[in-house]
Amino acid sequence: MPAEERRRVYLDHHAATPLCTQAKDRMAAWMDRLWANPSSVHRAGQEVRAQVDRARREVGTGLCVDPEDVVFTSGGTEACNLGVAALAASVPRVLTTGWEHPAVLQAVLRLRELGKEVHVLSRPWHMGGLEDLQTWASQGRGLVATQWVNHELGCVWPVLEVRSVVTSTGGMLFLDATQALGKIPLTGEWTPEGLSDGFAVAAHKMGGPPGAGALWIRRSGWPRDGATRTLAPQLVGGEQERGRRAGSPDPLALTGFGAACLALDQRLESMGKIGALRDRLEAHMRERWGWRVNDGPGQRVATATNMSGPVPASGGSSGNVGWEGHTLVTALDLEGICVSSGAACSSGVQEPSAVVEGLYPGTGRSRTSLRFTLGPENTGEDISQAVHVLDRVLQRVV
Amino acid sequence: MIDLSTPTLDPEELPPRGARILVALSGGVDSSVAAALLHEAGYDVFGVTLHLWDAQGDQMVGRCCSAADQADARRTCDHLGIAHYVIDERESFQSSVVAPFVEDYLSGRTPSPCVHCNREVKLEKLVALAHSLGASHVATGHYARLLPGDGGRVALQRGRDHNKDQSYFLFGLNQGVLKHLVFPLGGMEKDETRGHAMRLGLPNANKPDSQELCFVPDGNVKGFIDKHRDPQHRPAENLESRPKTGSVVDSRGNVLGHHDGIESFTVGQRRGLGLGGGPPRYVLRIVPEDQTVVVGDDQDLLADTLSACDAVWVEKPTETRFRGQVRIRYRHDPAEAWVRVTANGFEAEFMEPQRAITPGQASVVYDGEKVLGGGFITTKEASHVSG
Repeated sequence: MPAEERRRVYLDHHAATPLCTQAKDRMAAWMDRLWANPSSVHRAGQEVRAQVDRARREVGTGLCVDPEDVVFTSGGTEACNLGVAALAASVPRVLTTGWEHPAVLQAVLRLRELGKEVHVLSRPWHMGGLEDLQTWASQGRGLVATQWVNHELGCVWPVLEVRSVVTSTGGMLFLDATQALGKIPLTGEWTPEGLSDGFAVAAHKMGGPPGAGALWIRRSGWPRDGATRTLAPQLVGGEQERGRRAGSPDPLALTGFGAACLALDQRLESMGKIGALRDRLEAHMRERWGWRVNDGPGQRVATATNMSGPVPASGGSSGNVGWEGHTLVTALDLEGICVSSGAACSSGVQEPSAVVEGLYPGTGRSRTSLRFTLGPENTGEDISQAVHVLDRVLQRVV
Repeated sequence: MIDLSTPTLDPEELPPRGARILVALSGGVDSSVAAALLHEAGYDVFGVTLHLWDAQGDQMVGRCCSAADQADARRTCDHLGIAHYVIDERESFQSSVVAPFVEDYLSGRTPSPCVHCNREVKLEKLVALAHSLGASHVATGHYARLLPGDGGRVALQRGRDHNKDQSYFLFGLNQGVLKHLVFPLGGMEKDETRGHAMRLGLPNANKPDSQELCFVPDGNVKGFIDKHRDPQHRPAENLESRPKTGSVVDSRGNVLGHHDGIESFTVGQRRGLGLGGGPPRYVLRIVPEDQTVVVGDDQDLLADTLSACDAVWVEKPTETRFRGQVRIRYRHDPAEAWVRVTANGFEAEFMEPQRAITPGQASVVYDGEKVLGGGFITTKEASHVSG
C-alpha cells in the first residue's frame, strides 16, 4: 500500500504544530480580507491594520506583556536574531551555550565580527554551567543569550537561577522561549518581564501558522542600561513595527498567531495527557528495545522524548547492530510515522544531533538518536500505531 | 516513430506486483523515467538521492552532485506524488571514489571511478538501505539488463541501446546485489526514454545528458587533482622529494620536452603534450617511478594483449581459457579475444590489435550480450605490435 494512503501519525511537534482550531477558524474567516497593506492610509489598509493590532493585543495577552513592546517578525529565527542584536548593542561581551538552536548560536557567533567578546558555555547549567556563568559574569557586564526549553531534548533549563546570576552582576538576559510557549504557563515570575530583557517566540510551535513570530523586548530602565531601547533593525527599508522591523507583515499569519495565543490555556491543559502518552511510548522503547532516553539534566516539558537505540558499527547505515537515526526516520516515514533525528541541513541531509553529542559526548548516542515530539492532537491510538510500526521496523535488523 | 503505447517493461526483469521499490534518482532524465514507469506499473515506489559530493563555485552543475540536481530529483518525486529522501554518502564517496581516483592519476593510471562508485558507494549500500526501509528492490536508470540466468542466478547483460549501454560499469556487482536490482530502461533506446519522459510530463524531460565525471564537471582533471591531492595520505612515497616536473621522451629515451605532472596524461592522448610541431605523437606509457611520459606515433599505441587484476566474475568461467569479447574502456566495442583466467585477474589476447590499452581502466569480458566479469588493466608491459 503506498505510504500516502496510510493513516499518518505526526510526532514532530517541535518542528511545527498543526493549526489549532482557533487559529484555523480565524484564518479561514479572514483569508480574503487581509490583502491590503496595513501601512496604507486608506480604509482598506486601516481595516487590515486593525487586525494586526488585534493580533498584537492577543499576543501581548498570551505573553503577559504590554502589546506595545511586541515586535512582530517572520518567525522564531528572526525574533532571536533581532533580540540578540538589539541587546548586544550596548555590551562588549556575550555568553551563549553549546546547545542552542542555531538561530541564537549563529546570531551570537556573528557578533565577533563586531568586536564583541563571545563565550560559548559547554557545561550544562546543572552540571557546572551556573558556576561558569558566575565566573564569566564577575568579569564584567554582558549579555547572556540562551533558551528556556531545549528544542531537541525538551529539557527545561533553570532560567530563574541564570537570571539571578545575570541580574546580580548588572547584565542582561535574552531568552529564546520558542519551545516554552504553550508548554510552560507564563505566571508569577515566569513571564518575559520576570525572566528576561528579551523574549522570542514563534507561532508555528504553539498551534499558530508558520511565518509569524514575536520578540518582546524591555523598553528601558530596570536594571541595566537605562536608555530607551532602539533596536538594531536586521531588515531595513521601512518604518513598520515603529521602525523596529522593516517590511510588510503577513497579517493573515499574525491573525492566526493572535488566535492561537488566546487558546494557550487550552494547550497548557493538554500537557498532562500529552505527558502520559509520551511516557507510554518511552516506557515501551526502553523495555522492549533497550533504548536510552536522552533526557538531559533536570525537568522536561511533556511534549518531548529523545531516545537512542544501540549504536551501530562505524560506517554502516544498518546491519545487525543498530540503526542510524536518519535511516530510522526514513523507515518510519515510509510507514506513516513522522519523527526527526538531528537538524536538517540545507541539502536535506540529516546531520547527527549536535545537542545530543554535546550532552552525551563520545557515546555515539547522537548517531542513533530519534526525537518524538507530541502535541494536543495526538491520541492513544497514535501511540499504539507508532509503537506497532516501531516494533515491526526494528525487527528488520535487530 | 517510437511506439510508446505498449508496455516496455519486460515482466521477466520485474519484481512481483506491488513490491516496494527504492529508486535511486540522480536528478537526470533516465532515473526519473525509471521511477515514473515503475510507479505507473503500480509499484510502491519512493525516491532516494545520494548526496555524494559538495560541488563548489562554477562546478555546481552536473550529475548527482549539485543542489540543482537534487532539486530536480525531488521535483520528479513531487510530480509522481511519492516520497523522496536524501542520503549522505559523502564519506564513502571520498574514500572509495575520489581518493583512489587521485591516487591512480598520481601513479600513472587512468581510473574508472564510476565502477567503484556503482559498486561501493551506490548499489551495495542502496540494497542494504532498501532492506532497512522495507523495500525488496532497488531500481536505477542504468542501461543494462538483468535476466534470469542458470541455476537461479541473475545474468547481467548489455542494454538494448548499445550506444547507451552501461553494463561496463556494473561488472563488479555480486549476485546478492544483482538479484535485488531493477533496470527498467535496459530494454529501451534512449529516444524511447525521452519519449516516456514527455508522455509522462516529467519536469526534467528535456534536461541534457551529463557527459563529464560528476565530480569533475568542467573536465579539468589536472586542476581537480592539484586541489585534492593529500600528501599526508601518501606516506609510502614522499611527495616533496618527487620531481615537480618530468620528461616527455620517445621510445628510445630521447628527451623531447617536459611536463608539470603525470596526472595530466592518459595513454592515447595527443593534445597538450607541449612538443610543438612535427608529426602527431601520442602518449604510449606513463612511468610513475621517474615521472616520465613516453610518446610515439599512432601505430605504437596498438597492442594485442592486456592483463587485468582484481577481477570479479558475474558468471564464474568454467574453463581457464575461453573465447569472449573484451572491452577496454567505456567507449569501446567489445573485441574478440582469448581470455585466460589468472590468480586474481585475467589476460586477454585480442584477435585484432587494440588501440591505447590504458592501465587503471576497467576491462570487461562479455559472452555476446552477457557480462561474464571484469577487472582493472594493470601496468604490466603489454606486448606491443611491431610497427
